[in-house]
Amino acid sequence: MQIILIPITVLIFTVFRNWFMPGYLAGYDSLFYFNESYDLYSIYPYAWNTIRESGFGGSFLPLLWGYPSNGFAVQIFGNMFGLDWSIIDRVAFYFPYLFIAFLSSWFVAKRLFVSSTFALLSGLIYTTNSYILLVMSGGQVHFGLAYALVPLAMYLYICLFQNLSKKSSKITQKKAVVIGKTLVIGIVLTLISMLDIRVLYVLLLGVGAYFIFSLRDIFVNRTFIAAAFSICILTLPIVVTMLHLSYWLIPMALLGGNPVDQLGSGYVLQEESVRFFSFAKLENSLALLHPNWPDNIFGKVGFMKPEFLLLPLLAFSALLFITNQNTIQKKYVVYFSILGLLGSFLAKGTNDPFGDVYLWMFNTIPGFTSFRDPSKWYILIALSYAFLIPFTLQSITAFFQKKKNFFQKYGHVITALLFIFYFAFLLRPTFTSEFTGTLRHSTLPNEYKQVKDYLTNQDSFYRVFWVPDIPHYAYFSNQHRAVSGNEYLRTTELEKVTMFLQSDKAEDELRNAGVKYVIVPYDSEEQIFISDRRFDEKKYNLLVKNLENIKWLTKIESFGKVQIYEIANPKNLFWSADTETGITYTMVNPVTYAVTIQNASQGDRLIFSEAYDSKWQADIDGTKVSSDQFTRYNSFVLPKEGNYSMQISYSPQEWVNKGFFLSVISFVSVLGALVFFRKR
Amino acid sequence: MKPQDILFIILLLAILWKRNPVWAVIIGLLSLILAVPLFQLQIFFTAERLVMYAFGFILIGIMLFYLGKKDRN
Repeated sequence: MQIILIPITVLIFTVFRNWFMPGYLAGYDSLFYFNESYDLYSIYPYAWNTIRESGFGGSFLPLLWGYPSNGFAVQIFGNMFGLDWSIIDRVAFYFPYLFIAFLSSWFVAKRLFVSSTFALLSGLIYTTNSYILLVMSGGQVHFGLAYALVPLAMYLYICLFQNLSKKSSKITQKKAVVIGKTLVIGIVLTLISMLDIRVLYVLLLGVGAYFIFSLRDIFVNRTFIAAAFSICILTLPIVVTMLHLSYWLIPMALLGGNPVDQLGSGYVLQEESVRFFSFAKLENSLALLHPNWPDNIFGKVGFMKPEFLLLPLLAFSALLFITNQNTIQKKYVVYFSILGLLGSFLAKGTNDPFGDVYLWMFNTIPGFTSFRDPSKWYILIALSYAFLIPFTLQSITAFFQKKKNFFQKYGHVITALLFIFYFAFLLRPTFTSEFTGTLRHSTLPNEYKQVKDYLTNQDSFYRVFWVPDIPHYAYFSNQHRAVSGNEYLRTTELEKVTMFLQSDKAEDELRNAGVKYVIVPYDSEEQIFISDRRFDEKKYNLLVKNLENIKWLTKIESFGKVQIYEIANPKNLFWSADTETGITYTMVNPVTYAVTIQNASQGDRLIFSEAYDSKWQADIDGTKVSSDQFTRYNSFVLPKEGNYSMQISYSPQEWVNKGFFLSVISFVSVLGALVFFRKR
Repeated sequence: MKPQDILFIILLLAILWKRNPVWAVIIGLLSLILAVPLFQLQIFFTAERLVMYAFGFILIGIMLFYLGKKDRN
């Protein structure tokens, strides 16, 4: 086994070498924060997030399931230990992904049906297939971590099914141990949910397939009580997960709202949208080949690469070697083969054959609307092939070891090495320094450190309007919010952003929004000024030239290619049209502000320039005043004159607090139960 | 309907009559092998069709394995 580990380690290190080198990991979706930005996240869940809606804040309820994944990492590694983001990123996300994905798939393969040597190939396939490589190079670390946990969760469920089936050798296992196992599964499912809830959905579909597989074993010739116990045991992990997620589920259930609607106007439930995102064809999905491989440019689908077709050939050849296997191994091979086909069918989305089936599922099955992008179903294919391919290779080796003497001693090494060389051939684009995203070296441009130092030099609240978009290394915090010109105007066309800035209304509108600076970024990652998917310097130059001619924008600073323009007298986060009214405020947390008013007049309007939401309310000496909409912001009509204080709060937080309490109780109870059952 | 579709249907009916899962899987794998040079030569239509046939045959093979049907000799 040790011999095989060496080339596998070399290959994995070669692919992910940039993660082990100094510098930042800059994928399109990856995160970056200066130390001064760590106040954006907390360990406690809040129903409002200040950076949503491009710096104007928004309800965080639909996405609250995922708050711990950033909150804990930033608070523990950032605020507690003061680490730089380049270290937090790796320690909290990228290294755990490598560690967990490899070990969980290796462990499960070894326990289920291959030898230790070939189980190492499971780790290789699951960790470095083209699908997950593009996901991780793009910076979707939370999804990657959830993906890494899937083999472990699947294995725990399979063990549970084995315990409940009448052919299990542990049929007499105490009920306490079985319940203990379900609680462990519940914890793993909770972890997956907190990282990416869509992965939980995919996993449960895979588990559901195994459940159908095991129906005969679990229910035939069993008493009603035994069958009912089995049903309870199988649903217990989901119940535990739901209890742990109470901080999200309770406010969502009570306050309603379609989570998909909350994702923004771009996330539209239309057939055209699903068809558009169905980039993979059946040959891509069946070959475990991401349609955007290797460029990872959104929408750019390359020609089919036939060398990838050896993967399904090897995977499904496993079916030819099961006739002489024991029943349980036969069952695993058939099950994982079904999983591979199911994943291939779903991952192709609305493409032929029978693409309308996916549309029907999208429109009919609850929760399926989260899979507007069908590529998430590649998880099932990766899981399937990670186990089937090593099984096939092991079977082929065993076949030749019977016939060839010289093969007997080193056959497994030769077979494994041949596969590793083949897999390395598939991954060859990652060997060059031009591979995309986090697998390519990136440094923090000095310009952005200088911009950060300049902006943090001022304590007062303001927003920064980035034209046309917020760059990867932009500084922002609760006190200094970043606004994307594209998102503010709901456009992707630079010309429209420029036209807005040149219009008569722009000055007052941005001033009212609290925008103090308009900044043109340095496109260090070549993601902003793009023509035909390539960096276009002419766009940058034209933009700068146009902004120079706008009279109400005063150019005050340049840091390399970063151009900073100032707007005079921007409004504060809280302001009033009455200039006599004095306003001071303190941000207690993202859902609570303490505001003090001086010289208020009755009927005055206090503007709170966060995105309008009717659930913001002002508590003035026990009188609650709900928010009125003022253009796109919140406002409160002051009920009396004089000097007084008030608390502005976001009312859904009350249910988040109650749900969080239940989550903590649930989690502590589960841990206590595990200790109790372990002792028994 | 193309000639390859007719051939696919004939083979499919033969497999369903024979109820041999191993043969179903072998034909599916052969379809995949045939698709490789066609993709390389960018003869996409037929290559894509072969992949669909492979999917179908492997699926039939799996179903026959699961249902445990005996080979009709």
